[in-house]
Amino acid sequence: MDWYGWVLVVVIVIGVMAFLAVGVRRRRRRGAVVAVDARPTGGRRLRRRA
Amino acid sequence: MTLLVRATSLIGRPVVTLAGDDVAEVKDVVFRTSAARLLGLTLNGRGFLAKPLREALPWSGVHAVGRDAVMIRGPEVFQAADDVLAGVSAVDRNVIGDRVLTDEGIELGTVTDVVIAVAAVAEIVGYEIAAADHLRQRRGRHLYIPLPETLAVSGEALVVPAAATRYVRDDLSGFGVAVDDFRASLGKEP
Repeated sequence: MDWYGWVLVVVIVIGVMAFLAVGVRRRRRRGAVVAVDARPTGGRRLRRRA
Repeated sequence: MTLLVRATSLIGRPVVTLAGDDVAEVKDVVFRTSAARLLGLTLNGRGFLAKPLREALPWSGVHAVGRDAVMIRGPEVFQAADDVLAGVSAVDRNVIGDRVLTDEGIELGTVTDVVIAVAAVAEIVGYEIAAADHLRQRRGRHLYIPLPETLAVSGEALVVPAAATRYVRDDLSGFGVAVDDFRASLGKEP
């Protein structure tokens, strides 16, 4: 493979890793202050903001 | 000594053992409204790509809450997250953004934070609110409202006694005294 083939491989690998990293960060939602005995209403607001 | 901390200031704080291991970071702050008590903290792993942990930190396992870290004796104090959360979903019961009404039907604003008095037990002593317009003009944008030792379970809005508005403060300094005065005044009412 020529040198530009290797450059393409490196660019693709970096792109895939960045994509996965962003996905994992998004799955880590921001923390909440949770009242366990509150009626479940706040979640709709939280999801709308997210 | 009692230390007043905002619940959101705990979120993201590292959890460190007395042996010096940085084992987790705080994700959610979990409390029970009816008892005004902090139950514990749910956790994320440490590091850029770390996932939420299945274990949580009950308040009984906390050794100290410092400005920069939550200290624990060791990871053996962790419990299953479901035990600390009493089986409910954290996403569904976030109180930040909830409306605060007095028991006389006056809207005070929306919750921006929960104030915790940290001592041997961690007690929920007040809400920080983004003040409603009628309060904002007189008192400022962010206010602290003291809470009684027991509260009704929250529904669509959080309801506080109307007497609490007399003990509102615009910063945390002196808020502990305002809470004590407010609770003492409730005891004196017929």
